[in-house]
Amino acid sequence: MIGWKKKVRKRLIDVFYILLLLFCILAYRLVSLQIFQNETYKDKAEQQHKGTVSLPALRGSIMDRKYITLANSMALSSVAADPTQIKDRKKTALLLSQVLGISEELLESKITIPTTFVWIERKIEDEKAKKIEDLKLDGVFLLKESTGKRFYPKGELASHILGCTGIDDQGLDGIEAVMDNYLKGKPGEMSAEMDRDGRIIPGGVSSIISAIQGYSVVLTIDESVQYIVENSLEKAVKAYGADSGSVLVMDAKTGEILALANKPDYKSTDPKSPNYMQLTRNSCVCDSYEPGSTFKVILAAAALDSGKVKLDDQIQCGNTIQAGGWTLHNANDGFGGNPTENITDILAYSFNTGSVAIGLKMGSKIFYDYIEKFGFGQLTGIELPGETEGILLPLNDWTEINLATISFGQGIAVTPLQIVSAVQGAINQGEQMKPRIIKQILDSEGNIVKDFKPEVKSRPISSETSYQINMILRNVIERGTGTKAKIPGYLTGGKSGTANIVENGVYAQGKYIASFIGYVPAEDPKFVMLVKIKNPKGTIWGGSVAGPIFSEIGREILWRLGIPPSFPNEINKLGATPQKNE
Amino acid sequence: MIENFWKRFDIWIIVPVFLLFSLGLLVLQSSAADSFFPLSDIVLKHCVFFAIGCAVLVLFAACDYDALGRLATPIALVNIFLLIFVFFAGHSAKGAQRWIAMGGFTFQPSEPAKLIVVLALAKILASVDKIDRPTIVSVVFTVFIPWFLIFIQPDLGTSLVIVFAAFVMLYFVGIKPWILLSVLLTASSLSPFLLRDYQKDRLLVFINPELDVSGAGWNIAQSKIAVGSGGLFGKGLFQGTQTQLDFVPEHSTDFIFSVIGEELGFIGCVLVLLLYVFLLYRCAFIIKSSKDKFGFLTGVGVFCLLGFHVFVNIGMVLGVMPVVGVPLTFISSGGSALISNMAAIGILESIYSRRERLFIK
Repeated sequence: MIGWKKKVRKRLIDVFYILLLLFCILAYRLVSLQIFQNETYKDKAEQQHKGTVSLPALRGSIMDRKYITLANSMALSSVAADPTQIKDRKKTALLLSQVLGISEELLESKITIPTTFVWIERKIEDEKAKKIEDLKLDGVFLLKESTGKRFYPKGELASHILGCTGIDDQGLDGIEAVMDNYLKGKPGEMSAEMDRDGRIIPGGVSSIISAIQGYSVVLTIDESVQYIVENSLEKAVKAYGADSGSVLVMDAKTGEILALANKPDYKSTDPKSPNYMQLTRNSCVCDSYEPGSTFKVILAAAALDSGKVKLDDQIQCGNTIQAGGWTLHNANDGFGGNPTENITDILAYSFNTGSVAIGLKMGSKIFYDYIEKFGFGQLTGIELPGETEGILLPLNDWTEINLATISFGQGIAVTPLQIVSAVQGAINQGEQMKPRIIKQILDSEGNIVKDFKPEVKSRPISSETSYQINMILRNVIERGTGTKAKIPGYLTGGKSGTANIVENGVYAQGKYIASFIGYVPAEDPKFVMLVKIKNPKGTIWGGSVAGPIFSEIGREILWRLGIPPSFPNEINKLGATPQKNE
Repeated sequence: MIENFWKRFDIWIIVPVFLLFSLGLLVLQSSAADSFFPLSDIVLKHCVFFAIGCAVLVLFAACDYDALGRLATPIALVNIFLLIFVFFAGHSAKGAQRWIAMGGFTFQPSEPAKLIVVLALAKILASVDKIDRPTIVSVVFTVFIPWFLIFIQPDLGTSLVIVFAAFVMLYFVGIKPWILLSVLLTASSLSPFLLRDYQKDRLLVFINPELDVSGAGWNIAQSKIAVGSGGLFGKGLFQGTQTQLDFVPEHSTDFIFSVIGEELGFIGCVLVLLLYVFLLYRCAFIIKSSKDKFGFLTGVGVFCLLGFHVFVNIGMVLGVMPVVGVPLTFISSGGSALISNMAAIGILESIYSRRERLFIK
């Protein structure tokens, strides 16, 4: 026994030393981890349990000028699940399907995925979220989304103005896109200590940067006017079998756009509808067309203001006129011209020959300068995406034939907004206002952040000329091509236009744009309105197609805005009274 | 007689046990709650088990360990029966079937099994002068059957402890180290066929920790962050973010050392290491003074069990050993392990109190 012990005692010491050596390895490791790499691991620990939670910033609303909501966002919850914590998959799927209306099979397949996080349904209504919360299902939870869901309470109304947003509430078109920086707000951030499941531990919040809720945009649009416009325009486009139509209504004093519509349009809420690209085009600002006779308003304004033509000057008229080696005719609309006419009658009956004579009398330089002063060939700067400047040939390229055709509105392309803005300037004592669609920016509490005031853009003509133009345009309605645009009870001024459509660089046979631009009441204009109908079937004349639409829409707007009639007796004769609702 | 008993009792091996246990209580409370009071269930249970453990220690110390030697064969048979029983009637948790439910508690037969294998093997080896063929056969059966039953539970950590203790004991009776090593290497080469997928993952992750930081590598990555961020003095009890916030899994059982590392820092860790070294030194001292071969080999076995557990556990937390899942002696929560370890200390006391008189007088 003693001998055996002597032998093994040495082994025992060896084993103990080996063990000591192993413990030294542990100690060395401790020194390395806790002393030398302490900072590294401290940072790692910090990173891991210090987390940030994004605090949602709701997108602001878009409202009409009377603060009626046209678009708003609501904070919504999404349902997510941790499949590893779900005990009874069948039951969970069944209960969720009852609330969400999603098939049980789909739900069950989602919560069978071997992961710890899966979206069940995003951005659900509050009512459904409440129900799911009440179910208290294991492994199913609700998350507040950092962005809301966009709603358009008035449906498709003003869809070309509003535009649309994407899934994350970012503006994609229209006001939503142009004013995105104001609307979207700024998400806040909360730094907090979290456990490994990302739950904030009690008392663990270390800093909060509050979310800045999106600002609201107040438009100059009047929702009731917009409604009248869209409703009538849609019916008219159908009734005339037209390709499309646009109406633009602008406040005659301030340049504020009261209504803007193109039909057909698209649903603001569904970017997947067919012909989306075509339907989303806001023709009122994005497309230019040859204005035809409506452009004679600009011609007359230039001629009178420059003094080249006086009201009682007799101007060569007749049925044909020579210019630049071409023979130009009057439109075949049933009005025969005398050899000479004064400027009032040239516009009233829309003689092309007389107009060419006025143009030739004035000369290219003067006419071009006025065209430019009225803002043609330039962007108006409206707060809408995709605006085009139209087509205005540079003065150097003008030949006599250009001067001649532009005198009756062919050979120049303008946007509906440009012509409306120009006519606004022509009849508003020569003060052309900057066209606007944004009235105010409000913060989330309704305080005004920015207030956009009316702004004079230019003074293309004198107030005397403006008065003369006003008188001339009243005559168009009283006895000329615009009689069908007359609004009973109101003194109205305006000008019709019928122009060929340019397709692929040439005039399309038998296709016309019938338009009418007018303002009312003429003695103290409240609004200027353009009605433009593309390719109407049957009758094609601006006065006959667009005139009646102008009259119908104009009457309703006047009643809606409660503007007193110029001749109350005329209205009483019809047995109708204006609605006062302001 | 009683007076005599206490005189022969080694108080120095008890001191580190009590200190480790007390430190363990603090850390356990911190791992389970966020303040000292109220005491958590884990701590209360641990205290109860420690009280039972003390009684067991005294009982084993008082008994002549020769009696244990005589009973080694029947105890080993009961042990095998329990290990088979756990297989059929056991309670499984975390993918392994290791527990037998008894009243409100669960009992883990693999914990005492380690000690029983050591006793049975010591008995066989002590009774022969030369290792002949029948001895080898009985050694293989004594070690292999419990080892196999534990291995297939599966409990890789415990089965490795048994192999380690058995091999060291065989080394002490004169088996050449190269034979033992070649057996080990052969067994290791078979491991791809024997190990479960998760066990393989853990070994692969040990070889390359960047392999899968969110999966199998999570435990190690997290425990290293916890310990490393503790620094020299630690973050203080209840202040550890990584362990308190559940980033480190199993932080009251196998990964409790990460709590010590994070909250008590380098100082606390070194203190714990020194306590273990002193315990093992005392253990070796008792082995040296044992009066016979059976006592000596039993002591060596116990020494190996303790040493292996401590090294593998701390090494695992620090990322120098693969994750095999063994508890930290006297500190991790878990009654079966605590009571078995107290019994082992009791046996050492029994060996010490019956040491050779030659050295005393």
